Amino acid sequence: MNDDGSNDARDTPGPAAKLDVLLARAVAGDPAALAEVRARGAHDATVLDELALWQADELRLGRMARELHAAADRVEVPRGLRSGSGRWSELGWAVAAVLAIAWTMQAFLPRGAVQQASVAGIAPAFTSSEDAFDAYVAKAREEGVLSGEVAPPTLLRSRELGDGRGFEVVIIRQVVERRVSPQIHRIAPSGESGARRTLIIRPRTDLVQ
Amino acid sequence: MTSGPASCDRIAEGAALSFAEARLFERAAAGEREALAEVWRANRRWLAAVAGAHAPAGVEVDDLLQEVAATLVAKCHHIRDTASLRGWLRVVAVNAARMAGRSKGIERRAVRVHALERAAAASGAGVGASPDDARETLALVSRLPALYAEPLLLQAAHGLTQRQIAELLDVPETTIETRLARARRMLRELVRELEGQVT
Repeated sequence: MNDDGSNDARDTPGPAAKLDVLLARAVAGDPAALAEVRARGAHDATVLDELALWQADELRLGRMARELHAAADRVEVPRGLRSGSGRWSELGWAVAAVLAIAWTMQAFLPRGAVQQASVAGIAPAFTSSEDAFDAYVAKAREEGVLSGEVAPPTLLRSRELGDGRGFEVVIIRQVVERRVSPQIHRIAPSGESGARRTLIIRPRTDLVQ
Repeated sequence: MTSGPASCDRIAEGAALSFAEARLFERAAAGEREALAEVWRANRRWLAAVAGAHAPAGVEVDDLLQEVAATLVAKCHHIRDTASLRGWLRVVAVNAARMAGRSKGIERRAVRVHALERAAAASGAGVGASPDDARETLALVSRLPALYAEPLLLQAAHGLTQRQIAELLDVPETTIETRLARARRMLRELVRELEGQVT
């Protein structure tokens, strides 16, 4: 399918094109056009032959129309979605990414450190989340965990708050980390039922040797 | 408003939306599910014609309409001017068809369908033996440039007048008249070609 052939408005229609326009109007149900085609057919039988063929095409198109209508009538608006919910669905992957990062951070934190902080109840002296983030970046660089530079934030959406306070800007901050893990997990289908299970993949020790 | 053909024709007319239709759309834009469903039912048949005209070979119109319906639900609250609803819906349908055409999987299916058509035409039987089948006719129409296929389907499949099509597509009525004539001539040649292969 393409959109070419847009020279229709520039062409000067010849006699054949004029007859096509007349036939098109006739098969679409224009009685005046049909009468004119029949009048021409009295002098030129091929015009009537052509009309019959175009009418056969019209019948084919009619059958196709019923199929299209049936297809259209099968489709209803999706359930479970509300107007405006698309904005949140667009954010879904971002939320998932944040959750993944949070889970990763938890998973790789030394268990004792978490427990210790919880027991001691001492919060680090960060004055803002920005400070906390900067401290995290500095520490990650020191440990060799941060891979490359911190990517500039990606803008998801923005809107005016409407109360004169300014704009709400929603961004994603991304950091690329490099971690070393003794093993990784992979979710894979298993057996004929296709049930998914977790596979533990361990490094091949012979590569070390 | 009902969901019958009469209401479809009324809402597909190029004339401005009636007060009742505008009110219905306002309710839909506010997220009222029943109103959204009603807006959809009133428009889905002519949208099927638009989707059919732009759909690449091998793409089901149902699938494209699902995309359009989902977009209507998710984004209709962005439409501030209710009178622009039909134009917006048409663009959504055309974009859905174009996106579908970019899928590699679709390309493979299209090749397979074309191969089947050629094989059947060569053997004088099966899908290529006669263009009577509705799907075959749609496949033939989909071989026309969209510029011609769309007005043809809007007229033949949905009964819109030349003036209504011209207003929907925002082009002069004389241009639509020419495109319709050319579309029907092209379709005739394709049918003739197909019939010539099987006789």
